[in-house]
Amino acid sequence: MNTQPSRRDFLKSAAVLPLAVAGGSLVGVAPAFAAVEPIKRVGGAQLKVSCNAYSFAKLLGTGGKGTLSLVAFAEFCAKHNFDGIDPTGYYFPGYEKNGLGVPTDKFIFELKKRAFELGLGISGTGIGNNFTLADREARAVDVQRIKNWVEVAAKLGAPVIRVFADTQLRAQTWESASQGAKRDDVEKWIAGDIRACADHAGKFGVLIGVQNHGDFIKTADDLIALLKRIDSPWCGAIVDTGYFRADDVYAEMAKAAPYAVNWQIKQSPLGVEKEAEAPTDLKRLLKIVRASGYRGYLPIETLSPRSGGGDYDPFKVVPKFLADLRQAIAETA
Amino acid sequence: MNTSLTRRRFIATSALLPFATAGLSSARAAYQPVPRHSGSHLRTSLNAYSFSDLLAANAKDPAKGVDLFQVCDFAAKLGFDAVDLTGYFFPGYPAAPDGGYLIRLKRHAFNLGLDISGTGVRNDFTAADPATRAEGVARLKTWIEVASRLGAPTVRAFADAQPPFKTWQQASGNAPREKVEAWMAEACRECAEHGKKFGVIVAVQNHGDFIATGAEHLSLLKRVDHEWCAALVDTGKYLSADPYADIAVMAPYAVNWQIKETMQSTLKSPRVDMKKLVTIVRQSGYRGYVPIETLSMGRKDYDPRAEVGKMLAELRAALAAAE
Repeated sequence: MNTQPSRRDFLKSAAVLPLAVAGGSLVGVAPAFAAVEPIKRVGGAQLKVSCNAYSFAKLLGTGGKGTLSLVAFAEFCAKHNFDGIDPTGYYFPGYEKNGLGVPTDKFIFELKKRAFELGLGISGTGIGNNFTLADREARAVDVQRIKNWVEVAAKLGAPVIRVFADTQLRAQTWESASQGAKRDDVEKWIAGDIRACADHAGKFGVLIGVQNHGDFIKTADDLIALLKRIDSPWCGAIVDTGYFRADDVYAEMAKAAPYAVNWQIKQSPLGVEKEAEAPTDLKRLLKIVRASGYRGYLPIETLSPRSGGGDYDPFKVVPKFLADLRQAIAETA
Repeated sequence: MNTSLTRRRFIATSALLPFATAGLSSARAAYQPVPRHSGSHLRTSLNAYSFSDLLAANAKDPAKGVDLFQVCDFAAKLGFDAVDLTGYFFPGYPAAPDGGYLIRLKRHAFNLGLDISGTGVRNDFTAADPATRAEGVARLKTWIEVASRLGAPTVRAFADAQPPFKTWQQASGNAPREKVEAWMAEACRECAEHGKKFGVIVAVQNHGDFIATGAEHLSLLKRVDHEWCAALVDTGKYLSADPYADIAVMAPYAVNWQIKETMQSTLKSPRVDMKKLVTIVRQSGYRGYVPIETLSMGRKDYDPRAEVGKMLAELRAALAAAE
C-alpha cells in the first residue's frame, strides 16, 4: 500500500512554499509526482468467483422488499460454490434511493454471520449516486450517503464500495445532468465529491471503487484520468466489462485492469442487448485479468433486458455464466 | 440463524413456571451445530503463529525476523486464500494496535487477494482469581473490536490454563471441574455478547488441558449457549486415544480450525493423516477456511517456510483427492 503522503497532501504543503507560486498553477510538476499508481500486485494472479446481487435485482427488490432475501441469495451462491457475494446496497432493508438510510446493525451482522457460515466472503457492496448533477446540494446528499454506507461496508467486512461517476438518471447523460457544464468542470466536481468519500473510507480501511458506466466514463483513459484527479490511495477502479464504449473494448479493459480493486463481469462487453450477438470472450478477458496480476474476486453480474426482462431467470443464467467463467479461469491458468 | 429465545433464557423463564421439568428442556435443544448448507466448501489459510519465533524476533528488533506484512506476502506467494493473524504479534499487544496500523494491514491483505480468516488472543478463564478472568474478558472484547476493523470474522479464545499456570487444576486452586466450567462459560458468554455487537464470532479453541476431548469441548459450548460463540477445532490438541473421533464430534460446531502437523502437537505423536482429516471436515459440511499452523516442537532447524509449504501441499492433495 502507498503509505507515502499523497500528491494532494504534497501540493497542499508545497503551496505554502515560495517556489510554488509560478502562475498559481502546479500542473507542470504533476508528472513527477504521479500519485495514483496501479495497485501493487504480488505473486501473480489469484482469482476467486463472486456473484453480484444485482443479478437478482427484481427478485430482491429495492429496500429488500422483493420475494428473495439477501440471505436466500447468499444460500443460492453457496449452493453454486461461489467464493464470495457482492450484496448491492439497494437490497438491504433501510436503503433509500435518494436518502441517507442504512440498515440496522442487527441486519448487517445477521447477513455477515450467515455469509460466513456459508463460507462466502463479501467481495464488495455498492450504492447509487449522481455526481454529474449541477446541483451542489444534491451531490452533497450523495456524498453523505456514501459515507454512511462506507461504515456499513466496514461492519459487513466488505473491502470495497462501488460508486458511480456517470449520471444514473435514465434518459439523461452527464451533459444534460450537468446542464451543459464543461467536461473538465464536471470531472472536477466528481473528483472532489469522490475524494471526500475516499477520505472517509480510508479511516475505515474501505476502498471506494469507481465503476465505468458508459456515460461520463466511456474509456479507460476517462476512468484513469478521474482516478488521478481524485488522487486518493483509498480509491480504485471497478472494471465493468460491459460498459466501456470504445472501438476496442478489450483494450480498454486491459488498460484499466492495473487499477482494478473489484470487477463486474458482464455477459456482453457491449451491453445487455448484445448478449446474443456479442457475448463476452471470457478467455480473452481472463488473459487480460491474469496479465494484470489481479488478486481477488471476480464478481459476475447478469442482467435483465431493458425491454422488460421477459423470460430472464437469474437462477438459470447465473449458474451457466459461472460455469463459463470457471472454464475460462481454468483454461488460462 | 437462531433468533428465538436461547435455551438458557428459556430455562431461566420456564423455571418460574410450574410445568418446567428437566424433560422439557431437551425438546428445546438450544445450542445447535452451525447451520450448514449445500455441502462442504474448503479454502486454505495460514496461521501467522507458524512464524512465531521470527515474528517475536521482529517485535524486539525490526531488523530481524519477519513482520505480519511479510507473513501475508509469504502466504500470497504460496497461493493461500487467507491468513489468520494472531494477536500477539500486533504492535502494542495486548492493547489494541493503533488504527493506522490496522488499516494498513487490512489493505495489505486486500491488495494480496487474501482474506483474514481470524485472529486470537491469550486468556485464562480457568483461573480462580476473578481479576485474571476479567482481564481475559477485557482483552477478548478489545480484540473483537480489532477483528471487526480488520474484517476478521472470528477471534480465538482459549479454554485452558495459561502461564504461569501449567494446568487448570493449578490455575483454579483445585476447584471442581463443574465450577471451573461455569466460570469459563460465564466469561465466554460475556465475550460473545460483545461479539454480537460487532458481528464477530468468539471461537473457543481446545488446547489439551481443560478441554482435552470433543465431549469436554462441546459441554463447555453448550453451557455458554450463545449464537456468537462456537468452536475453533485444533486438530493437534485432543489428547485422547482417537483424536479423529473427537474432531468428528466437534466439526459440526466449528467456525475455524488450526490444522497441526501432528495429532498431539509433539514430534512423538503421529503426523496428521490429511486425507482422513479432510474427509471428516467435509462430512460435517463445514464451509470456510482451514488454516494450517506449524510449530517448532523443539526442532532446532525448524523453518516455517519449508514446513508450511509441506503442509500446504499435503492439504491441497487431500482436498483434491477427497473432492
